[in-house]
Amino acid sequence: MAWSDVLARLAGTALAAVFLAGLETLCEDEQPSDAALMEQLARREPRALELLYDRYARAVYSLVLRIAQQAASAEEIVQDVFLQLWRNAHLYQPTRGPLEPWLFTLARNRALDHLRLKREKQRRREETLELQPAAVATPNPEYVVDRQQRAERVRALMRSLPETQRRAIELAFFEGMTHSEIAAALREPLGTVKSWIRTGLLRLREALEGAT
Amino acid sequence: MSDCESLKEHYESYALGALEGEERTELEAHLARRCPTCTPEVERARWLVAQLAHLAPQAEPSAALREKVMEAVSGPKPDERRAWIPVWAWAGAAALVLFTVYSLWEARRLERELSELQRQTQTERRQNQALQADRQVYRNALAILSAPGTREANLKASAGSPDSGSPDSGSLPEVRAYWNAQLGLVLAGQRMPAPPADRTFQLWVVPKKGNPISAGIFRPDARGTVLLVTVPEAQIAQTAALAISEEPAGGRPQPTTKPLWVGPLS
Repeated sequence: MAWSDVLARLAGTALAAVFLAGLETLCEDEQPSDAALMEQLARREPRALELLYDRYARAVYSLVLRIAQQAASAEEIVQDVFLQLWRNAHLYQPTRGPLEPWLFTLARNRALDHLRLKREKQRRREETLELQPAAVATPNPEYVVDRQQRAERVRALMRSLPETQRRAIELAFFEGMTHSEIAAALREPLGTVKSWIRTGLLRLREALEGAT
Repeated sequence: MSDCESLKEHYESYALGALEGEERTELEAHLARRCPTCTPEVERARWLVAQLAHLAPQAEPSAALREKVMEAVSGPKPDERRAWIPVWAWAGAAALVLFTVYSLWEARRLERELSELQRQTQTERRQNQALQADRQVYRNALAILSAPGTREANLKASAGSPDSGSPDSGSLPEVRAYWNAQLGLVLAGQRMPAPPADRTFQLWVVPKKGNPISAGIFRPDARGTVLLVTVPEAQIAQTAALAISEEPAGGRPQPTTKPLWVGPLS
């Protein structure tokens, strides 16, 4: 007998509510939320870090490797990111936003720091060296599609942009370049670069929020 | 709040980290005043920028990285934990060594006690056997003394022996014998001198006809007492007398010296 049949039979009964509650608990047990895992992390439960690692290590590593360009450095940075997560789990506030972008921001900042050090540039001031990245908020969680779809949409949107506009955004995100650095690299006017970046990101927002 | 409208075009660039110069300074100063309009908008922009992470080509970190991260937060793996010996294990090992040493010492002690007990048992068994033998001697002696037909002989120092002619009869050896043709003979002596170390006394049955027959060898004890119960090898019906001579150790088939004590059977 399928679950749907069981539920159909129970429909409307008091038992149905109990049954569904039980199912929810089961599902929660199998897939604890990021917030629940962060709470466990704050209580120093290594198992929670293990689950978070399995959930995000691949994406974080991919991002960091894209920025740092070297596998050895990327692994060092990823290790550092997860240890920061372990040490500073108590600072994470689920109400301020989901974990994933918070983690990505932390990882990106670490990787860019590494890149800047490598290029012997002056470290930029600001939060990139702080343990906790700046607060990240989901515009409207209800609109946020699941991770896989989101990734697909980001890639599709970027493919749809003109090459130079896409390149400008990538230089900013993966290379940590400022407007003027990008303008110099692409040999384009500063105003054009600013506009490309802004319009590109606004289109990305529409693609992620509006298409659900 | 008039600033907000002009700043809003910078949210995404700021979140991206591309904003610079005065524009950046201005927006940061504005955010520092916790602007209720711009702050959540910048946070939304940060979320948006974070989504660009999905543009990175997918790559797989090594399995070793996972182990390194987990080791850093929860200590070494169980295998390595085993390699490290905790204090309680050392304490346990030390206790085991002490216990082993004590056990060995105790075993040695028990072994010594056991061997001492065995030695005592053997001694006692020998003493018991000696007592049993003595008891048998007395029983035999008693049987001979009380049997009908037993004849008595009072052995006197013969002429030429060291004791003959001594005036003090109280210090003289007293040697008596009781003879029974079926049961054997009993020799009881008191105050007898000890023969030299390499010699022995030998008792002889002297028949009416023929040579003396050995009835056994003996040495008096420290007090000069002798109790010899013996059955002569041959049946001697016609015994005339008993004699004691001093012979080389182990005795001789025939006397080699003159008898020291002689007594006719009555």
